[in-house]
Amino acid sequence: MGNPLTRRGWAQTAMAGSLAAAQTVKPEADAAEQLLEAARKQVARNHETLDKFPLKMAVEPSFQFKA
Amino acid sequence: MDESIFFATITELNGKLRAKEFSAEELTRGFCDRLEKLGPRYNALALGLREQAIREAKDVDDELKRGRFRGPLQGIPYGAKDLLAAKGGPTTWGAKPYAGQVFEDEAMVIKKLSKAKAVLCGKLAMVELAGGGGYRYAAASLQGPGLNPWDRSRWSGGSSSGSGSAVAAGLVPFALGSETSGSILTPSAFCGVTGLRPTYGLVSRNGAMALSWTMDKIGPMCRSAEDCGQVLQVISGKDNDDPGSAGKSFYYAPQFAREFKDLTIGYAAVDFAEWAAAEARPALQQALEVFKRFGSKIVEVKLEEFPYGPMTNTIITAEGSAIFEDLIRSGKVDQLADEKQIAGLKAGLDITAADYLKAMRIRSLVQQEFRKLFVDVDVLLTPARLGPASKVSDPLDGGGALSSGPTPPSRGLRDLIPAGNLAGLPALSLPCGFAGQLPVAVSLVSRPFNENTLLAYGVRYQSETDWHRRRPPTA
Repeated sequence: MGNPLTRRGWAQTAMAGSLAAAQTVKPEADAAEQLLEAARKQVARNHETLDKFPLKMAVEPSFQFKA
Repeated sequence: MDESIFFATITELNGKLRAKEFSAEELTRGFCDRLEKLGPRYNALALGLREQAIREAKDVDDELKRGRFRGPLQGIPYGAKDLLAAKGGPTTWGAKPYAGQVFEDEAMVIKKLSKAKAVLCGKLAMVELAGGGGYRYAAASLQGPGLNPWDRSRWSGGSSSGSGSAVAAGLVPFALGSETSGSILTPSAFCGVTGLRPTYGLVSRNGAMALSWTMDKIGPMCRSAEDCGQVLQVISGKDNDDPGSAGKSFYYAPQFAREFKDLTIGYAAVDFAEWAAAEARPALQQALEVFKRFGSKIVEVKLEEFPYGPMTNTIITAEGSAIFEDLIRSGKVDQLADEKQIAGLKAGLDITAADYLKAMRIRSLVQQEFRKLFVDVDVLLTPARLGPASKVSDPLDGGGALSSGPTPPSRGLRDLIPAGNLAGLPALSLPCGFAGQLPVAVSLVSRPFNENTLLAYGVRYQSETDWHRRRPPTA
């Protein structure tokens, strides 16, 4: 019938399970973190590029073409 | 029903309906059968709407029996990108978090087409949330990657993926797509259909998913330039419920466009000879030669240098992340299919007001430069895409299969997709040949509200070539 389940045995099993789960999830979580980091770097690079573009004070934001 | 019917133009189909060669119900059943059978083959179908389509078609037949002719779209089946609200089922925006979303009202463009008695047969697949966060893989869609009818190992383009492949494969005579930056032109070019991106504000976005309030446009994807004109006439017009509405209508009248001999076409030789992928160059060069025969003055032009990429990226991501802020903060954004898109939307909340406004201020200079350019030039001619459709499995941020030689000396009109979208300019994509078995296209861009000139060139080009008539071998 197998070994009786002790508190210590249960804790070891649970720890092993959570370690295995963490190892399974970790690469995916890492990839998501890396992509988020890359996306934030892109925002920062865009900022740097836009920041270097000289603009006169009178230039107003616009999006609709006035014919 | 003869297979050729499924590749006929709107004008041809309407003529056959009026001549009673078949009924609107028969035509609708034929297209619904095809859409349901072949749509999944290309991951093009989001939702079939057979029952309501057949009801609408029967109404059209009643009208035709009574001699009531409404116009060229009467009784013509069509499909709509699944970012347009329509009754009869969910509107998913191509994204898992919205898979069960149902709207009670319909998008203005759907209402206008209903009034013209066009028959909505189905909702068509799209890249999730129209790709606002920047996606890495073609698989960024609730329906899976859009597969190209010319070669299913290739992408159909995005974000109007299903609209492109459904028209190309003869599953609908025309479809509605939308473009924020390239989403009509790209699938039109990759799938070999004719696509029109209207001037910003000409077509109401009321009832459409918003990705970027200042850049979103809805337009037709069809078998010919003439069909695009017929559809645009119906869907354009003022709408007080769309704050971006320009308050203008469009009447398709290419016969009143200025004569070609009085017009000037601007192009950059470097686009055709050096930037384009080697296998696409013969078709693109041949198209250029056809346009040169029309009697217009042809001049070399180039775009002023602006940070088009960072501007477009900042504006679309900032607006898109603001629009989907609840989705992002709730964590449901993690249900999206594409990890890069998830990260892009999250990072978009970090964009500062200063950066957004800086991009919008530079945008007004881009418009000024186009205003100057269009004093001397009426139309810009450029490759719609520099190469044919990429492989479905290829990452989309890898640069694609472009020229592997030395970097060309000038950027020519390479930035015309972001630049034209930033300025809200109309554009027309025309199939112009093949690279191997994959379609290649040129695009024409003009000043705001000059769609009739674009269409006049498109109609003339398509009267002298038959690339728009070619059918995919697998369809």
